Amino acid sequence: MQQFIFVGPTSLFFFIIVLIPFFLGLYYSFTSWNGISRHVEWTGLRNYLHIFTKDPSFLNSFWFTAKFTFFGLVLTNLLGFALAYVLTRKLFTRNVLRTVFFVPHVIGGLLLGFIWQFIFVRGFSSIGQATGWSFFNLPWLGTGGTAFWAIVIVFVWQNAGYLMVIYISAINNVPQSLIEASKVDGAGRFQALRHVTLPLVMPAVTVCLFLSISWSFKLFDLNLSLTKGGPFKATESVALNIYNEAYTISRFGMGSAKAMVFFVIVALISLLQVRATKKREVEL
Amino acid sequence: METTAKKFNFPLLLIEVIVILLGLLFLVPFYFLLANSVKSYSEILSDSAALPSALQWSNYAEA
Repeated sequence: MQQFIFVGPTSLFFFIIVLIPFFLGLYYSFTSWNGISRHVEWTGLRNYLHIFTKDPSFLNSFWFTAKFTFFGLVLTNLLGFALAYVLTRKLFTRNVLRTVFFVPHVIGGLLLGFIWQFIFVRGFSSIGQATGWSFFNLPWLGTGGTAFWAIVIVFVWQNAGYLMVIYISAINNVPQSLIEASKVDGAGRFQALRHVTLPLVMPAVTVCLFLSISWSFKLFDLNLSLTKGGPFKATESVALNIYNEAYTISRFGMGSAKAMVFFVIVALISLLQVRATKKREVEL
Repeated sequence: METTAKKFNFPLLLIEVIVILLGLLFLVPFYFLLANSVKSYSEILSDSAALPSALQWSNYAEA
């Protein structure tokens, strides 16, 4: 009885906010509901068949998201870990720099997207005029290839600082005595990093990989504010594709079906990732 | 808790300079934000990267 009272409020809100909408979405994914009408027509598996056979834009957006996740994941984690590794050494401006790298995460994604859109469109062109470097004169948001990298740049800029904070706390928890012991045994700085620090921060790696996978898979606000999926749907993430399906074309049934497919895939990938990295964690 | 180094250490200083440059690179968007917030509209369109030629604080008053 006591357990029910303690867990009660949380499970009540969990039911209202998570479970019931989820099953409603599951129900609507089998219908052709348009989001407004009272009449909801049951269509069975037709939505799912349509997604897998007649909807190339959804598959394209999936491919885009997969590519984006790969690059976003690798770059944010590498940069975050490198920054954390450097900023745990005895630098004079250590604390200021930690703040600087974290600041982009404090501002909301949509706002950052619009700031960066301005920079890519206006700022880069005027830097390009001043310096003449062709790097700045590229049509950054104009072609599919460059727009992809533009979103990757903004994503890494926004999220590397957050992962850096997690890695810093993990690296600070590595006992100094172990590093010294490895140095006594003749390990160089790189060997100490590879064989002592890295195994001991694996729990943080698990967390960071999980966070960056789910962030980049659910990429929506940066995508909406930077390119709106354009040019010609070349940079449309899955979340944006679902949003467009449900709210722009008003096909809530189809949108729900896509969201269900998306949910299954994200859940599978996250599960596999957590299991794979859990195995590599070591106990002290 | 380790304290900041007092001895002169060249490789560490080099790392510090590189990280500071990277930090400045991270702050570039905020420079754009602040610089363009005090520019007139025509100046934003003509040259958005330069420092503002005249500070137009009325942007803030209107906002």
